[in-house]
Amino acid sequence: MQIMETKTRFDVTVAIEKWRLEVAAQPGLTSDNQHELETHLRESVDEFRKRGLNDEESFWLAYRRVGPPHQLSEEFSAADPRRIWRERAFWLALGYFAFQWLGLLCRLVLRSVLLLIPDWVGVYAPLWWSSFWMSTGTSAAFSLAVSVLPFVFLLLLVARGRGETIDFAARCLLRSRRRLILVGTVSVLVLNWLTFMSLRGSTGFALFLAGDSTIHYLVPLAVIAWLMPIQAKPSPAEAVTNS
Amino acid sequence: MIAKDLVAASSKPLVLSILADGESYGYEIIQKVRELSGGQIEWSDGMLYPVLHRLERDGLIDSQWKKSETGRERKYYSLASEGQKTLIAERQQWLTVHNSLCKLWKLKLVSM
Repeated sequence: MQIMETKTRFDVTVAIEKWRLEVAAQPGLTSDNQHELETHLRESVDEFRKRGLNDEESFWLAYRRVGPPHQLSEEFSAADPRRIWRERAFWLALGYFAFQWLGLLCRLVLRSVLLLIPDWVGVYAPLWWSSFWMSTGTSAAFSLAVSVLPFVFLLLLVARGRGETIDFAARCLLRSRRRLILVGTVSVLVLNWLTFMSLRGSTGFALFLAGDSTIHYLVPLAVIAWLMPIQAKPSPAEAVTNS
Repeated sequence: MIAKDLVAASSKPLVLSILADGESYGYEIIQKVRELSGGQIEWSDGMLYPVLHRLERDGLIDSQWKKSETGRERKYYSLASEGQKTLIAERQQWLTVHNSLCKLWKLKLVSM
C-alpha cells in the first residue's frame, strides 16, 4: 500500500477505493464478501471519526481492525468447504504417493536381500522355497509383504512416538512446489532404476519406467503439487507493522 | 484476554444469542461482544464473517441486504428456527460446563 507515503491531503474515499481493489484481487472472497467487508470498514471509519479522529487516523485504525486483505482471504477460505475438501484430497494424494514410494523401497530392499543369498542355496532348498525365490517379483507372498511393510513402518513410527519425525519430513518436503517435484521425481527415478537393475534381463528401462512410474508415482506427485497449500508471503506493509 | 481456543468455541453461542435479541449486522455484533465482555473478548473482523457464513450455511441463521436508517446498505443476519433449537442446546451445554466449574470453585450456581 502506497497510501501512507502520499504527502498530499489524505482522501478517505480514495483510500477505501484502493483497499477495495486490493481486496477484490484476493482469491477466495466473493463479491458479496467484499461488499460486506467494505460496509464494515466504512462503519468503522465513521465511528473513529465520530470520536474525533481525523480521516487518515480513522482509516488506518479501521484498516488495522479489519485486517490486511491477504489475511482476510485466508480466514475466509479456511472456512470454505471447497478448500476443506481440497485439503482432504491433498492428504489423500500425499498418502497414496507415500505408500507407493515406501512400497517401492521395501520391494527393492527385499529383492536385494534375496539376491544376496548365493545361488547354490537354491539347489538344496526345498521346492516351495526355490519357486518362491525364483519368482520374487510375482509371488503372492512377496507382493503381500511389500504392501504390508509400509503400514508396519508407519505404525512403528507412530507407536514409538515419532510423530514429530513424520511432521519434520513432511515440512521439509512440502516447503515449496519445486522442491517436492524435484525430490519426488529424482527419488522415484533412482529407486526405479535400482529395482530395474535388480530384476536382471527384463525389457528396456525406458519401457519399465513408462509402464510403472508415470501412473503410480508421477501422476499423484503432480496432483500433490497442484493441490499443495502454499503459504502466502506477508505483504510489505504488514512486514513493517510486525517488526 | 480470553484464550484463542475459547474465543473460537464461544463464537457460536454468542452470535446465536445476540441474534436471538433481534437481527443485527457484523459490525454491531463485534461491538456488542466487545461491550459485553468489557473488551476481554476481541473478535477480529476477519474471524467473525467466516463464522457468520458458516452458521448461515448450516441453516442456523438467515441473511438479507437491507438499507439502514442512515441510507447505508448492510447485510443483516437473523436467527432461523433451526438456530433457535441449536441455541437451546448450546445454552444447556455451556451452563453445564459453567456450573461444574462453579461447584469446584464454590461459587453460586446458575439455574438451567
